Amino acid sequence: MAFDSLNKGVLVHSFSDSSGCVMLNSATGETLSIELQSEELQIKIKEYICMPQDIRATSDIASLYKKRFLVL
Amino acid sequence: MVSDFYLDLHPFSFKVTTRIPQVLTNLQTIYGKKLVKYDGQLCSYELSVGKASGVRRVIRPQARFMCDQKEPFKPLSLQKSYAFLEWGMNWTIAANEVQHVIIHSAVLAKGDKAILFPAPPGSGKSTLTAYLAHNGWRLLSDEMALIIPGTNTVVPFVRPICLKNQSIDIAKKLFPDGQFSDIAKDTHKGDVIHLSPPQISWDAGKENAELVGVVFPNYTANTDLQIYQLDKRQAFMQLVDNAFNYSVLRGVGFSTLANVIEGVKTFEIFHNELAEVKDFLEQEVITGG
Amino acid sequence: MDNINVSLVIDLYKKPLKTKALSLSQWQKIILVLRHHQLLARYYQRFVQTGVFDFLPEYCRHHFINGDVIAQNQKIQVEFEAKELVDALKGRVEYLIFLKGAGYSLSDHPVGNGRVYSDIDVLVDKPSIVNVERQLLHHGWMPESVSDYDDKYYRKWAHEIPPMRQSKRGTIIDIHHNIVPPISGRAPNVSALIEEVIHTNDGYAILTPAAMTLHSIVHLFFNEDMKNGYRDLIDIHMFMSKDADKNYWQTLLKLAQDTGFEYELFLACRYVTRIFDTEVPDYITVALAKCEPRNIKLLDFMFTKVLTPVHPYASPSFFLMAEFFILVRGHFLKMPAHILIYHLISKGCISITCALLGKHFFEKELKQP
Repeated sequence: MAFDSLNKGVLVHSFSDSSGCVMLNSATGETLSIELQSEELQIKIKEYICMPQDIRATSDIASLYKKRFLVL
Repeated sequence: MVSDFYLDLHPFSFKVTTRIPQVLTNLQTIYGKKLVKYDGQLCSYELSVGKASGVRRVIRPQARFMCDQKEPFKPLSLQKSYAFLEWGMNWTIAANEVQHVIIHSAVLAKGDKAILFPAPPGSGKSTLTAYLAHNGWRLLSDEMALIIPGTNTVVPFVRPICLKNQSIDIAKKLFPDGQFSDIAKDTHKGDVIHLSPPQISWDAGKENAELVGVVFPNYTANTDLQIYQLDKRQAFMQLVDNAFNYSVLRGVGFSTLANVIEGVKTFEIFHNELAEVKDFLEQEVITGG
Repeated sequence: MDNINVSLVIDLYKKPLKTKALSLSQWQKIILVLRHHQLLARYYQRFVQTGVFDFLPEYCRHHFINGDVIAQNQKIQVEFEAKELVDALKGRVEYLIFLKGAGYSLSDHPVGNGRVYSDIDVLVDKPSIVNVERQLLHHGWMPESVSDYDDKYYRKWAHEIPPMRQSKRGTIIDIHHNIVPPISGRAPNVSALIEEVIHTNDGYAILTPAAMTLHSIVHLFFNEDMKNGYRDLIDIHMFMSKDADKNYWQTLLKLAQDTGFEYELFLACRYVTRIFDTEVPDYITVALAKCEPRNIKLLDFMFTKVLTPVHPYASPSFFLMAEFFILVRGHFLKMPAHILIYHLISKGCISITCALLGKHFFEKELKQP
């Protein structure tokens, strides 16, 4: 499950009206709003992990990593 | 002059000390029988508003607010001293209380079903709040909604409604028999007045309610009633923006608000007719599947 | 209404079972005193550790839990701030050491649990200070508003540049390059302290427990404002109690000798023993005995009053006089006489102005509710 790559203390909630997800990084206190649904988000995270390092910066998911929501 | 008073404002209680006559008069108008002489009752916090010292005492008199030995704000002009006490009370709770998720929002209930009305200044929220409170709804709070963590349950914290600028005249026309405080002029929010909610709100002051809706009201002149269903993700982020202690509560705050949003209907409305809003809320939000 | 006094508040820490005998009316006052001294969380930890917390009245438990939640949140926050600071200042400083409350939180010493503080204190090398200020400005830290006079005092005479505030988060950082003002002629050779640096599991540089103790002692007994005196004394008591083995005491004594602060260590041991019955090894007491000054009785009078949880509900008599003496002494310790006189006179004018025009006259920032 791609959510295994989430940092310790990161919480995710996917809304039942399919409007997207919200994530909290408990360590930094930052809350993010993401238009993707849970399954789509997990796919994107998996893609990001598998990307060669030099093109990772172009991915939308790069900011999740920068803000320490993800660990690789 | 007796200067120590006790206010039981469930779920908190306060010892209030003041020698400023205007403050005492306003406290009596707003809180009525709830304001009693302090006689050693157990309180959550001790507050005081008194005259500032030094030359200021005579030339341009000022009031100081203290929460026990702490003075969180610079003094304000004496004319604003009652409003200062109310704001100070809000600050005291927001700064110290972390066992509820506290939202900067009005919350009112019809029976035991409640709706949150978070709103930035200028949205006309307080006029709507005052209207509902005088028309069959009960006020749980005007500015601080207390949600029990992990639930959709709101605990009442009944206090006066804070009205600003144009809302003041509207409210005085709508509720000619209302218990209004003096107007505090030229505050950072403009002119401000406090209105005590009707007796039914005070009488039901210990009865919790379940949230069934989160509604973002916007008063817009010359507009028919427009209702937009907000998607839950947006509603959640707006609620987070309006939460006092979200950053302290972290995971608990996040989970609680996510579950609240899941369990309620979420709307943004644009209106200029209070009665229309009331009908919409009663027919579509409080009742209905 | 039942009264309380400072001895009772101190006793509750030393002998938590005494909580059983208190009335709600006494508790209300005690909680006010503890909140004022930012000690709700500290006492909460003590009561939980000693098994008395669950037997306290609901009224008390509510306020203690509030204090603890706030303290836990602060601990998480400082870990975040530390990471941000390390990232921002990487390569621009020779060293970045977290001191006092922030240092305690980052360590795994129990003194960090339940400790609440307003600012993050760090020690950097003096040549890097200008760079540090500049780099922090880039990252949204702004100089905290102080009067022009205090700004000069900070930069020219004191051992700090004025505090900086993170504009988005509101956190305040105090950047030091030594622990006392160089102008006092007693600023220790910082290298003696740098040798006492360890790294936490997450790689943050903090002082060893012995060095943290000495720093706390110097801060307390050099401090002009003893408002947090009782809280700081509890910290020292905790350092001297938990895992305080022979190595700790020997390091502490040597550090005090090397930096020229044996006298302050003498005072600390004396008062922590008197107030908390802390167990200080005999050989330490003997080694420091030579530091006892002639006016020890006056110092005893002052410090035993001031190093207590003072509050209008619990104030010992003669408190105001004791604090005034310490304030003057604090100033005196920090700078040579002629500079002190200039400083006091200027400050004196400020005090008189404040007395006439109200305490807020000099504050630049307007804070509205």
